Amino acid sequence: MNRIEKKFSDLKANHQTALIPFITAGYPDKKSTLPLLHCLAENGAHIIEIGVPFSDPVADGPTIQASSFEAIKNGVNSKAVLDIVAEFRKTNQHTPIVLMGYANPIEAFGWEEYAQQASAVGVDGLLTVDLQPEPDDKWGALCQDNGLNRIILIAPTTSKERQTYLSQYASGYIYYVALKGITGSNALQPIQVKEAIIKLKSKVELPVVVGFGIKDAKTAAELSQCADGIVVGSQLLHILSQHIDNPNEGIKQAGDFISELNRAIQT
Amino acid sequence: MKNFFQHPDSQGYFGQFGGRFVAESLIYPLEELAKAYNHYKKDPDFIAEVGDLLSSYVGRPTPLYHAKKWSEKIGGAQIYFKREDLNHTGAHKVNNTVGQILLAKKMGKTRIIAETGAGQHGVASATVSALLDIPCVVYMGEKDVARQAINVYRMQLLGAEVVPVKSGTKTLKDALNEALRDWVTNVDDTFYAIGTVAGPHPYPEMVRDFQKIIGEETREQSKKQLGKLPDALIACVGGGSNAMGLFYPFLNDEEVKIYGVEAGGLGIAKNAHAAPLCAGKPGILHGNKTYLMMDDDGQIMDTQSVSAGLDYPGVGPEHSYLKDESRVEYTYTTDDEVLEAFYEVTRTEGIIPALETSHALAYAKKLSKNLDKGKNIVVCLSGRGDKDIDSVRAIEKQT
Repeated sequence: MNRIEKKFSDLKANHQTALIPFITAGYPDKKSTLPLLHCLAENGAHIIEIGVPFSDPVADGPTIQASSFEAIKNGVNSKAVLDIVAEFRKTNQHTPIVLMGYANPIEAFGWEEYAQQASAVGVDGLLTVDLQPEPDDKWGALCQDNGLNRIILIAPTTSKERQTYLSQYASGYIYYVALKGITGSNALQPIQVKEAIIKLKSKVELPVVVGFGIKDAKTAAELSQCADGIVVGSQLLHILSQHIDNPNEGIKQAGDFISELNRAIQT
Repeated sequence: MKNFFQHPDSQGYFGQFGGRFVAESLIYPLEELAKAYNHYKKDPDFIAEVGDLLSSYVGRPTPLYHAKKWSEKIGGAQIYFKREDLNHTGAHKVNNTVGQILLAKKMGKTRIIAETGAGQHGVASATVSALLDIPCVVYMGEKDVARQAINVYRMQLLGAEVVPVKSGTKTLKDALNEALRDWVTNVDDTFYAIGTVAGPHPYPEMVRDFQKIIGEETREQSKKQLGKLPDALIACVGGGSNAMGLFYPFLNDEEVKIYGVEAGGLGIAKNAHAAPLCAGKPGILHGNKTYLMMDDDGQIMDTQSVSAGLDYPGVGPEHSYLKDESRVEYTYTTDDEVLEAFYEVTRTEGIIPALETSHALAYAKKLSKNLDKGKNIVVCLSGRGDKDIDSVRAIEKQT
């Protein structure tokens, strides 16, 4: 059992919902990322998704795009992200880390090298937004060989047949996209999302987490009634962006926000 | 010789290139589109409707014109222009928008979105949307909005909404990103009309099929006018839709040499260009695997070209395949060579070519010099240059 599987099994035993913050590595600057990760973990993050910056993040809204753009300017590439995780693991062995990103930086790095090095530094799962499982599934095999979970997205537009097809390739957890649109959108409809998650959970064995467009404790609490985990990204980056001149204050505020969300979803 | 008419495969691959690299939310609309396209491309009524609009509205077939004076001046092979500039709206782009927007209507979609660089695909989308009574939104990089002001106004006159894109490099690639974001948000009612042979499957195949009429007509016209096929074909390549349209019907004709001309910008050595096939490497962008201009970290690089229409860091995946198969030779011409050809063709033939097209013309000049007078070269005159006169005038003032 790897860290993600163990985490969900512990949460289940305690009837808790996973809180999963997403941050962009290297935003607002390179040296803030490590203290931010620790702060999130200390304030109740059960799993952390780290965004690997890409110049053309088509599934992301303006907030994450802007953070990605800044992170690239700050010199953060795939190698730098792996180095940050290695540092984090020196003092934190228990919080699972998922790297979320796009295919091209991995293509440039080399798929096999990326899977090997991610595993070596203590990454637990990989979510590659624009890489769909293909019949030969070489990527899935590489993840498995390196003990990494391969996180898969399921969208409101995914057909039932495709849900079944995709879930064969998934491990760790399934990430349900709460809305038709990009990250940070305003269109989330909690009642519809809950219905969709309940249906999906009846079909798959893996935990189902939900994200895209969750901005406040109220929505998070409502969705936590059926989802196994809640992902919050754009809102967290928005908070950091409000304190560009004082990153330490931004980190503190981000920690407070996570702590507030955690209280909301565990009640 | 290989059969080049069997691509893409069912997964959208041309050899190792192409595919469908998109977020899960776009899989359903792409499958819906592929299903509709596979149905209607064999539907006689649909084929007839497209054909009727292409002849009565667009003005096809376009002539294959012997540029005698320019050929003589260069003193080498005979150069022929496939006159796509004579299409309604002034470029080849409309061949594709007629097909796609008719398809959108058949699919019951009620809104068209498009991306544009130089504005030609935007104008072609706005035009056909006006004709077929469907609202149209065009995404255009803020930089291109500034340098292609006339086309922005044309689109607005035609009733389209032009959305300036302020993210990233503020050019064509960012317009494409923004259009994809719109599409994923409005998948139920919106049809995304991509303007080039790139993007996720089925776009590279579909756009090629709507553009291959250029090559089909050229083949017939060559047989009639020359009594044989031409010795060489030349077209400019940004995303590569006019090139794919001209080349495709000739791919299995081994004796026909084919050249694709990318934007050399200020020069490949200066690293200021838009020539991914000449100087890039395979990567993944905008839904497909293809040659890209990217750095060692896989971040997409800025491009540099005198023409907004070629200012794109990627290229259609079928071109990447044809490069690796050595069926097409890809080369480039620089901004200076392009301007020289622009002036020469304007003054000698009385045809003002688009700056994009002038890349192909500049290479035609180089190639024809080394060939004897009995050889025939066809250049795709993909668009007219009226949209570029402000840019050219600005360059004249600088120098």
